[in-house]
Amino acid sequence: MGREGSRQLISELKDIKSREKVIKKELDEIKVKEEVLLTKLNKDLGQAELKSRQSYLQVMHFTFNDFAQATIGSCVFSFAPFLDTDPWTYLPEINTAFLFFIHMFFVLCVFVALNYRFRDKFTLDFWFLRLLAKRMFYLYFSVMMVMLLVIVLIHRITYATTLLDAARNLLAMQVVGLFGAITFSFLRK
Amino acid sequence: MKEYHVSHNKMTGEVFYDRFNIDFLRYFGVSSAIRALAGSLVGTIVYIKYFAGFFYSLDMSTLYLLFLGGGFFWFILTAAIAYVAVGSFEKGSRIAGRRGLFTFSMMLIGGITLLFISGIITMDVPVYYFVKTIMGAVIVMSFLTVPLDYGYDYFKGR
Repeated sequence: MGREGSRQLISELKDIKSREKVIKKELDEIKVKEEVLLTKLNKDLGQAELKSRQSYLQVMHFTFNDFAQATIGSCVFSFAPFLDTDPWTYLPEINTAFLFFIHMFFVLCVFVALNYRFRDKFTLDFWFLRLLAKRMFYLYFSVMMVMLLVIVLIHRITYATTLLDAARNLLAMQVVGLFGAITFSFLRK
Repeated sequence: MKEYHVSHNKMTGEVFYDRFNIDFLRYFGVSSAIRALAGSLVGTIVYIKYFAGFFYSLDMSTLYLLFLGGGFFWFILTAAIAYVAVGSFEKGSRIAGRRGLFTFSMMLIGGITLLFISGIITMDVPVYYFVKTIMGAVIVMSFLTVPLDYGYDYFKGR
């Protein structure tokens, strides 16, 4: 190996060093990008955690404001049976079991909407469901109080009404009230 | 230095500092529900056997007065106990109201179920008869349910 060989080796070394520089530069750029992405990710995760904590705190306590929202919502939506008396004419024709099924279906819809109201997503979380079920119980009874008053006021339940008719009328009205309550619970969000 | 009773809510992880132990008002667990249900079932049987005639003989306004007055007394009593323990009227009322609602629901569920099973109430009876029966039954069963539910929790500790 003579001078020619060593020159070739030196040029190869130079070539490798220049390539090393390029790679180092690219690596630095990648590291900067990684840091930016990590910062963004941490920020997003922090916000998500904060949001879940907020929703947890919100769902935990059924405050007077929540009660007021539910009752006002159900009052507003119960104007429908005051203004439109048509449903009362075809309600007796509906089968009781079917009416109950429809009622339960709409209660389920309200439950899903309530979950969305607090968590901003439709997926269910078992731990959160326990708190949500309790809230649904409060909401259902708050609305039922209003609906009972309304239904007595419009003479759909009197002392002479049979229990079956009273229950059917209440089942039908309760859904309307629940829709009002859940709609109004989204307003303050 | 004042000593406080520390209460841990196992479900939500909250910690409360009360002047004395009011866990029997704060929490309504599965065992409380079972006791309330048992109390309401026994109460309904006692009502059917001994008190039904007496309550049917009362007029509706007297029955309403007894029912609402009893409920109000029950609420005020528990709210006062909770108020002394937590030192806030709002918090005390909330604790009492929430606890009462759960026990009342259990009484209604137990009572209505047994009255339907026994055939005293059917879907064809008028609302007047239903309201009168339920109010009388709830008044009687509350004398058994409250000591069984609240009292047991209080003496046993949660």
